[in-house]
Order: sequence, then structure tokens, then C-alpha cells
Amino acid sequence: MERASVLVGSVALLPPAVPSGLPALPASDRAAMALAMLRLGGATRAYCWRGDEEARRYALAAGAAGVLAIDDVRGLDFDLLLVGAGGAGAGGDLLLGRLAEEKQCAMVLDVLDVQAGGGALLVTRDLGRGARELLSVQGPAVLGISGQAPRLHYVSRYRRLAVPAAAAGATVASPAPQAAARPDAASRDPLAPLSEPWEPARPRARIEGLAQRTAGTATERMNALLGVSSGPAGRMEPGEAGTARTGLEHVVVADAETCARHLLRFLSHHGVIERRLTAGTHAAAPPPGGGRADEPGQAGAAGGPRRPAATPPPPALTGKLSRGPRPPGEQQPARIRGPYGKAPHA
Amino acid sequence: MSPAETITRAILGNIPAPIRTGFYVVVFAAVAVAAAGFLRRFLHYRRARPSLPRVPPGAGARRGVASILSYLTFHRELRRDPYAGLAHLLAVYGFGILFIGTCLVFLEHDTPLHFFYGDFYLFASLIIDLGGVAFLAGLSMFLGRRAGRGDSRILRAWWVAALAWLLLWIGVSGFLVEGARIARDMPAFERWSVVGYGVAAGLRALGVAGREAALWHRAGWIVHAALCAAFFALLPWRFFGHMAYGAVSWAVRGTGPPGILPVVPLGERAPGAAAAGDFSWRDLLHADACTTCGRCNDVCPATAAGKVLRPREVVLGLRAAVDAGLAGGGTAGGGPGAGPGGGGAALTAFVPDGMLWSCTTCGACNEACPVGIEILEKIVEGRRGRVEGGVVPDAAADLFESTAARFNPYGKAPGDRLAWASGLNVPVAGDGESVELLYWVGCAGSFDPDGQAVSRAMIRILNHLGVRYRVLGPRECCSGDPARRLGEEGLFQELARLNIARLRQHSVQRVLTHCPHCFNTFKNEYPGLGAAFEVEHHSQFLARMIRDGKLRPGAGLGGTVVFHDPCYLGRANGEVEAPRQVLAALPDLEPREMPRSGTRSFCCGAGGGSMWLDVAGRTRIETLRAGEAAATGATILATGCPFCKTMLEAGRQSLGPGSGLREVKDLAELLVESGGL
Repeated sequence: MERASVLVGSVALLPPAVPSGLPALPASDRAAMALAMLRLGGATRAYCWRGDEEARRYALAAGAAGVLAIDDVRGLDFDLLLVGAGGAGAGGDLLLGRLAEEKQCAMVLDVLDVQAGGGALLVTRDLGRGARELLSVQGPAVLGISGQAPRLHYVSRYRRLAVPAAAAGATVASPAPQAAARPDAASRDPLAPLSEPWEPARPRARIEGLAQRTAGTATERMNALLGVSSGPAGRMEPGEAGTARTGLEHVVVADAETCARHLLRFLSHHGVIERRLTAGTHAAAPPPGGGRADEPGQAGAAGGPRRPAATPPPPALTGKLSRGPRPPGEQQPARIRGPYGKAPHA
Repeated sequence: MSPAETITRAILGNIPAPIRTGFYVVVFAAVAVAAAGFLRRFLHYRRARPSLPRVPPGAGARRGVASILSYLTFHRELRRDPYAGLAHLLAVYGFGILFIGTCLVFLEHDTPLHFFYGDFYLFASLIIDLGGVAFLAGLSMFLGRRAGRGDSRILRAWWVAALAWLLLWIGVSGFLVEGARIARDMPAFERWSVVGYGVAAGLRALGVAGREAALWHRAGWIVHAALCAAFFALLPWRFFGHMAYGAVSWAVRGTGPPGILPVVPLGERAPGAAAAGDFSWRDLLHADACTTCGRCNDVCPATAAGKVLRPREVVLGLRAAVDAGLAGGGTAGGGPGAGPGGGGAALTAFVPDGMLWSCTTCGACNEACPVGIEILEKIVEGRRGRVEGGVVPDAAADLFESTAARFNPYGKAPGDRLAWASGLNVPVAGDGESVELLYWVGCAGSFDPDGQAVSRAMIRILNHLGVRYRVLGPRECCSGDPARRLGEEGLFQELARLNIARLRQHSVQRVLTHCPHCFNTFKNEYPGLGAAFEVEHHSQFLARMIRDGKLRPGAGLGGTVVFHDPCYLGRANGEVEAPRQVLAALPDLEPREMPRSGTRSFCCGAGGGSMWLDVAGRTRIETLRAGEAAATGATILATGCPFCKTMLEAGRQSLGPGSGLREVKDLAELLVESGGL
């Protein structure tokens, strides 16, 4: 891996009205820095959001070769990007997905550990409840670091304080147009340059009974739920750029957007969420369970080979969910919800 | 020549000129080697970091010289262990007398002075022989103790035994030389040399006399001279050095009670020490001064609990790191984990991390050391080095991050600081309100159930007394004590400055706290950052209220009570009377004392961040301490520290119901439960 970069950011842990602690980075961002420094070696470049002084100081104190302040994700240039919760900011995992899509590279979330070796990255992923998944990832890739990643290195307060404020050479101006400093992380929209306004739905999905009970990994269960094949057809060949293979012979072969699309379709199909699509967006998308994992532009886009330039890009996710802002004058349909979201008996 | 002048002896009379010349060459060479060794050490000290200001300016050389003389004369510190103290006293006094005798011989022989004859000679012979006896007696006591198997305190290293044996042979060979000299013609006045004359008589009985005695004398003299030369040459080396450095180390020891850490200036150089080169000159001098007596190991709670820490080995490890650095080996590298990187041999190669993290910073080792070595400071300095190097136990890192992010080491939300006060009338200071008396609740008092009980009791007492006081509530933040003692100096100073600013914002005049750690930090460590507050521990406050008749405890309690002195109240701040006055005021409670109490108390195991860290040992410190309390037959174990209360309660429970200890209570709780309020 030629260039390991880290996107770090701090968070305000408590509302400012309450006396809160000193500025701090989330555990995942600290772990991201430590992984880049100690596991991957070499000169680590860090990115932080403009105005995030604590993140800049932390990265330099942790030993980053340089810190670049960015205003939006177009300023990111990387072969391997490690991102923590603070770095992702309000964009959350969606930011990582959009980055992976934009850069056409692999993406792994909930990463606990990463080791370089044999021309690939060996990534340990948290599957929850103590389960782990070992992935071999070839770059370029975006890794979302879990907050549960083991702490490899502690950066003292002295080291952070000893970093000179906005040291010359330490902070490089973002390639993006200069903007006024925006220290408030909450006011930042890291997805802005990547997508049309889009509001992710956060339904209280209850999928018990819908998914098959399996003894497999979370990936298997999710694949089964989405109808994505996890058989040999979905497996990528070794050496392909951007592939992600598990040591357990279960393959994740879908980029973030495709997964999200399938998930939304699945949820709307089962009536968990309501959805209204604008014309010409997902009409051509296969129904849940009907898609092939190795279809270009869909499953495998994140893990598969880079698409040639001539290949039309996947349709932009411009669909607007019914949970978005309601136009003035529109009345909300009366919906009576009982306990746990069930409609009461008539 | 007057008749008196015949009462003397020929100095070097039996030694041929070439041997005499050789003797002078060897002695000067040995002295040169010793001087070079001392000079090398001195230059090393000069290159080291400046010492943190523990000795108040103005104490100066007079204090140092007076301290050395008093130390050598009275052996007050050494006599705390009667056997070792007596042995050392005999050996030092004996050595001193023999050395003075040798100097007299030198003056008589090598200067125009002429005094070594007549009555003076006889008197000097007697005193020198008695000195020799004392010298040999002291050394025999040391060697006898080493021969015993029962004393685990003894450092069984050959280079420690080598000094005792070398000195013993110098003494023995000296008497043999003297005996052989006298045996040649047995002058009657030499009876004043009581031992030498006895040895001469013995030699005569063996048939050694006349010319044969002269040969014995010459051979013995050569051996004696060679041993003495070797002794001089080895003076700066390892354990031998303590004879030179010990008294100086005592003279430059920090003033003030043990356990108080001086403020570390946060400049361009990272705080802490990761390598021998990161320590101050005084630390290096202390390392050289170690007598390896092991008293620090004897009193260390971590050692007693079977943890990896041995305070003596920390000091010897530092000395070994210095030696390795001077020899050009084991340099500390850069990069993560390297720490401040002042050069020299890496400390971790000689002092394992487990040793550093086992310490409870109780200060007992500092207090026990007969040559004034501040072992605790070296451990904390080592911890700082590890923190700056980024290599800390997870629990410590959690503590640092929680304290930084939420201003308390428990990781609880600052807004919950007053959760314990539900149903109580607790006045919280308003924005900018002037506060005459601030009740500093502390993190344990705010978040730990054991500490919350103390806080509630204190509020009831304060409200009962009608005292005008305030608490800071959510604005309170950790005093920084756990972070500091775990080596996070930067975090401590950030928190300290924040607290100081807040207290100044409220124009706080007096601070009252039930936490000895906060008490110690406010009283002794914040002044180093430019803020001096009048601070009172709740035991002092309660004792004062009882004395003034404002607080009259009831008679609702019964049984026997024993008080556990918190380290940061008793040893660090010398407050051992006030808690006992409070207990004495409680009727129907019969006070008991543990063997280790007052300023020589035994730690509960929570100090120095050990409340959060858990380095495994053979047993647990709190169990040992609770066992000591139970052995007094007490039913109530009282204390004046929320951390001690938590630890001792755990210890009490681990002893089981058979221990007789019914409960562990804070002084304030006992007062409330006595029913007088």
C-alpha cells in the first residue's frame, strides 16, 4: 500500500451548555491513526476538516507526516483511507460508501485491525457479538474503523498541546476552494459535493421472521436477506483490484450504493418503509433476490475490477424518500400506530 | 630524642624502598582511578536534566553540610532498623577511626610534623584498635545477616557481599600486620594496642618472632596495602559508591513530606523519562547512593501483595541503565513508544513496565529510605516516559480519556455530578457567585457509591451546622491526581488550570474536601501552578467543630473502631491526630490501633491510579490491610478517604464474616450514624 491516509475528526461529546470535557477524538479516530502509524508504517498523511484544531493536533502528535485540512471530500487523495467516526462526521458510514463509490475502491466497515502483507491488506472486521471476519483487501480501499478497535497507542495531552498552532508546513491548504473555518462539526455536510440532497431513512425496521435463521456470519444473513448470492458466482478472482474476500469463503460483493438500494427496495417491498421514487431512477433495478452478484455496476462494483471509463456510471441515487421534507401545504396522512409500530386492531 | 619519643613505632621501617615506591605509585593510581570514576559520574550528572525544584531555594550548602554531618554522626535514619543501624554505626565509626589513624601515620611519616609518640601514641593506638574492633564487629554483623536464610530483604548479589568481605579482610589484615610488627620484639608499651598485642602474643605462641615476624609483617603489609588500594579504586563502583554518595543523597533529598510531586515544567522537552538520560542529576545521584538495604521493599504494599514491583530494583535498574548508557549500550530509539528520548539506555530494558504500573504512590519507600532516595518520583517519571511514548495499560488510557473527555476518571457525564444529592438540600454555586467555603465533593464523592455516602453524610453535617457553603456541582472537575500519578502530566496541568480558574471565578476562600487526594493536590501541588487555597480535610474540619462544641456526636454506636490512615492524609500531609480526635469524640466506641498507623501507615491499594489499574499479585493489598485491621479485634474500620473506603470494604468482604470486621465507614458517616445530628 503506497499511501495510507487517515481522515480524523473530533466530536463535541456533550452539548456546549453542559460543562463538558476537553476536546477529544472518538476512539475510532484514535484507533485509525494508531493503525496507520503502527500497522502500516511509512509516512502517514492525515486529513482533517478545516477548523478542527483538535484533530489536526492529534494527528501531528500521533506522528503523522503531515495534516491536510479539507473543506470537502474532494480534497482527499489516497490509496488507503482509514476513517473513524469523527472523521466521517455527520456523513457517517454513508460518507465512506460515497467515497468508495467515487474512488471506485473497496470498502470495509467496522474494521478492528489491519495488517499489511503480501501486497494486500489483511483486515479484521467486527461482526458483532464477538464474531470476527478476516478479509484480504487489495487497494485502493476505504476502511471504516470500529470504535472497538484495540488501543495500540496513546497520545498524551502534552504531545497534543506541544503541536504548534497551525504550524507552517504541517497544515496544507485544501485543494478545494477556501472556505471560512467551520469548527462546528454538526454544521458540516461532508456529502454535499458528492450527491444531490438525499436524506437517508432511518426506519425502525423489525426484520425478525423475514430473515432466515442461519448459523452463518452477519454477511451471510444479510446476503440471504437481500437475496444476494453468496455462492461461488459472487467470489472475485484473486489479484483483482478492489476485491474483498473472506477467509470463510463468503463474499461481500456489492458496493455501498447497490447494497443501500437493495436494502431500500427490500424494506419498501415488505412495507417497512414508504418510498416514492422520481422517474427513471430505479425502475430497472432487479427485484430483491433477483439480482446477480457479478453484474457489472451492481454487485461487485466495490470489490470488483475498476470499470472502464466508457462504462456508464451507476444511476445516481436521487430518489427522494417520503420521509423527506414535506412540501408546504401537504397534509400528513393519518397513521395510527400502536405499540411497537403495529397498527391497532380495527 | 626524649624518652617519650622512644614510645612510638617505625613507620614503613620494615618495608624496602622499592616496595615503598611501588606502594605510593599504586595508591596514587588507585586514587586517580577513583577520582576519574567520580569525575565521570559528576560530568554525567552535569549533563543530566536539571532537578525539579524540591529543595527550597536558599536552603543551600549550609543545610547540605549540616545534613551530612548530622546524618553520619547520629545515624538517625539508619537506626530505624536497630540491627542494621547498629551494624552500620559500628562499621562507619570504626572505619572513620581507622582512616583517621592512617592519616596520622601519613602526617607523621610524610610531613615535617612530629607528634606520633609518647602518650599520644599510646592513646591513639588504643583508640585505633578499638575502632578496628568496632569495624570488624559491624562487618561481621552484616555478613552474619547475609549468611542467614530468613531475611528476604537481603540483596544476594556478589558485588554487595564483595564490599563487606573486602572491608573485612582489610580490617583483619590490618590487625595481622600490627600483630606481626609487635611480635618481632614485643615492646611492653604496645600493650595499649590491645588487639595487636593479643595477635602478637598468638603469633609468638605459634613460634613467629624476630626475623620471621618481620617477614610476616612485610607480607601482611603488602596484602593490606593492596586491599586498601583496591578499595580506593573501587569506591565509585556500584554498591561501593554508596559510601560516597549516600550522605550527599541524603543532603539533597527533597524537603516536604513524601508523595508530593513537584510541578513539571511543560516546555519543549516532553516530561518523563524513557531512558537513563532523561532523569535529573538528583535521580542519577540517588541511583548511585542506593545501599541495597531493601527497607523500601519491606514497606512497599505492592511488594507485600506479591506484585512485580520492588522499589529497590527500580533504583538499581536505573543505576544499571546509567551504567549501560555510559558504556555506550542500549540506546533508546525514537518513534512511538520511545518517549521523551533523552538518550542513554532505555529504562524498560532494566525496569519492566509492570514495576512502574504496580506502584500505589503511597510514598512509604521514600519515607523508609535511609539515604533519602525519592523512589516514588522515579517511578512517576518512568510512567510519564511511558505515557509520552504512548505505551500505557488500557485501563490507564481509559482513565486519561475519560478524565479529559468528561472531567472525571469514572467516565460519567458531568451533568450527573449531583445525582447523589437527590433529596438533600445542596447549595450549588451560581455563575460568578463568591464562595466563602467550597465543599469540594470530588469524583469519588460524586460517582462512586461508597464516596456518595460520604458526600451525603457531609452535606447533612454541614447543613446541621448551618455553615454557609457551596458546591460546584457539574462545574467541578477532577483535581487531576489520578492522571498525574499515572504519568499524564499534561492532562493534570490542564485540569489544574481549569480548576484554578473556576475557583478564582468564584473567589473561593476556603476549600473543604473529604478526599485526601484532592486535599493533597489543592494544598501541595496547585501552589506550584501559582494558586494557593486554604484547604481543609473533612477530618480536620470535623475535629475542629467537635472541639468548638458545635458538633456533639451521639451515643448510637457501639463496639471497637480502628482507623486506617490514608496515605495522602497521614504520610503525605502529617495529619494523623484530627481523625483520632473525631473517633475519640464518639462515645461507646473503643479505639484500637494497627501496628502500621499514622505516618507509617500501610496503603489500601488504591493510590496512584491503582483504583483503576489492576496489576495482578499473589494477594490483594486491601485484603492485607483489612486483615491487619481485623487482627486488632475492631468491629468498625474507619477511614477518611473514599478510595480507601471502597478498597477496604472489598478487603473486608474478601476476609469473610469470620474476620469480625462489621463495616468500613468514613468518619463523617460515623458521626451521622452516631445520632448526634
